[in-house]
Amino acid sequence: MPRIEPRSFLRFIVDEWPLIEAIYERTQTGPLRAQTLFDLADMSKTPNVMQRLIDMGVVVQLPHSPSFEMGDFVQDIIADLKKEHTLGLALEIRVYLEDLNRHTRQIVAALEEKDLEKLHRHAVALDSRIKTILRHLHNNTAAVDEIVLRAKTRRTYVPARQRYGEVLEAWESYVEPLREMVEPSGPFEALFERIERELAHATRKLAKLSGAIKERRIFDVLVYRLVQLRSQLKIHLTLTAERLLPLVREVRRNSAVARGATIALQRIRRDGFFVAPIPEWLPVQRKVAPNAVSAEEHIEAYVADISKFKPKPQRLITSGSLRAQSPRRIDPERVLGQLRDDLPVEDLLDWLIGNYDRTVDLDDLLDLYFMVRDQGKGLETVPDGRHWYETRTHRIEAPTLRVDRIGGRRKKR
Amino acid sequence: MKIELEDLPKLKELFQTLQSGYHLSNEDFGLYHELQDKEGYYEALFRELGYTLKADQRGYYYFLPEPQVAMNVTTRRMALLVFVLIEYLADEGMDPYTGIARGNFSMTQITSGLFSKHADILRDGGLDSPESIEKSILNNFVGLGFATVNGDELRFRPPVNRFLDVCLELGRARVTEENDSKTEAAGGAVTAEEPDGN
Repeated sequence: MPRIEPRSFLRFIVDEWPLIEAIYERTQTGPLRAQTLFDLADMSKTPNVMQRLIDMGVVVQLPHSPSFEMGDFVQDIIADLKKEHTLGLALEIRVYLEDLNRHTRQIVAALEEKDLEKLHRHAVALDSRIKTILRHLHNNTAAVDEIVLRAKTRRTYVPARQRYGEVLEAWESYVEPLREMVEPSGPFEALFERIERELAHATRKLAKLSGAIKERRIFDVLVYRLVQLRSQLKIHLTLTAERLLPLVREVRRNSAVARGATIALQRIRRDGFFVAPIPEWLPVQRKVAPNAVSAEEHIEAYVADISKFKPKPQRLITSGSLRAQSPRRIDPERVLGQLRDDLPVEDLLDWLIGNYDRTVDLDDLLDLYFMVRDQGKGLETVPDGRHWYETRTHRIEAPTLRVDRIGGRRKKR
Repeated sequence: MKIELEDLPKLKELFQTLQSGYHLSNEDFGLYHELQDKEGYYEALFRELGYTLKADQRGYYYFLPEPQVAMNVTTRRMALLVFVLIEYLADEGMDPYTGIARGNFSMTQITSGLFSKHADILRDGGLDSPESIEKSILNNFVGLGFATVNGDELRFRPPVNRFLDVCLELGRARVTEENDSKTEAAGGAVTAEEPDGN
């Protein structure tokens, strides 16, 4: 293609902007058929505009096809002007990077064969390929910027997963695979090192070859471009990740929160409101609940605890078992001795309650009562009707007994 | 560290506020900034009194619960309301985290919406009407510094992150479990880790 004079090119772009923009829009969906291009060319009043489009490299005919597409370089310029960059694929970069290896191998072979023409051809191709990758990286950085801008300016009531759909797509299908490719232990670090080593070797060999001055200069530039490509690739990856990551995090945080709430509610449904486990660091109030049931929430907690209470099966307590657990603390002989001292006693049970109610159970108290009534132990008892008696635990009705003798003798007064 | 009590004029007010379970955030202008300015002094002083002052980088202070403190009903009810609100927002196609952390709600709409969709579980937590939900929001969330209510407008304050963190923890634990099982199924193949470092 003949060299295009930059000023003429820019003037042509400005003058024919509506036509060029229309061609750009149409080529986004695929190659243009010749007839479509002719129809579009009718928009312009410039005579012979079709030929000018081809001469300026705006459109190029596809090999072995009547169709046209927009030149890569022009597409980049239009995309820059319109701020409409399309994010390429990580795979595309991978193919280009692998292509560098192919051209380098050809250069090494050309040097072995001392074929300067082949050497020149592949050196230029390698240089061109590196520039293509740099151009793609520039385009992709701009495309990511536009994706982030679009995501941030969309209406906020649209859910993040939908609002940031393009962001997630860019992250998952571009940034992640690219990161895996170019990370220090990845395949491309080794590839770059090999290419650099082989180019350095080729440069040394070229120095010994006479008549290869032009190629030596190209090689100097190539080594520089390769270094530039390595650093640009890392800068590009850092920039795109930094711009996309906050949005990716927001989507993932929203998803994780929704998932977590569902799990928490499932647990509450399964275990109950008062039982479902909640992290120990969560309580919002520090104070330990007081023992006294004083506030509404404590009452609720208390009621909840009661509702969860499951009684353990136990044997019923009987008088005998009670006695076994709490041995009689009063010696009957001592009681009888005291009774003798207090004779006459008008009401035996009343006397027992007065002296022993605080120290023995009702069971024991009644045992003492019946022991005096049945055995007497030398005491004389007289029935005196029935009365109600109050102990510290019970209210009981029992026959009233008066005790006024010891062994048939009245106590001396 | 030498602490002059005259330099801490809001000590009593701060202590009483924090001790009641209130979470101070930047909307509690005077107290929050007093605490922020002299965080080291207050932290040391409260520690001597047996309290641990927790400063969260997202902009709030509170006293850490005592170890083995009983999970009170207030906390359970607040957690339940946040969980239900998250599920409600997610079901409505909204972003639950962003919505709660940064959005505003109409109190009337949100309480009736929550009750109409999640009445059963709310009843379990003692919230048996939209009015009781509103009462709980006012008493618990507003009363403890977790939310602001202005007319019908409800807005959560940064301390609500304490409840959102519970969900994040649970949600991420589930993702980790799923990833682990996938890794096992794939014979130990490494899976990409979650990029969120929070």
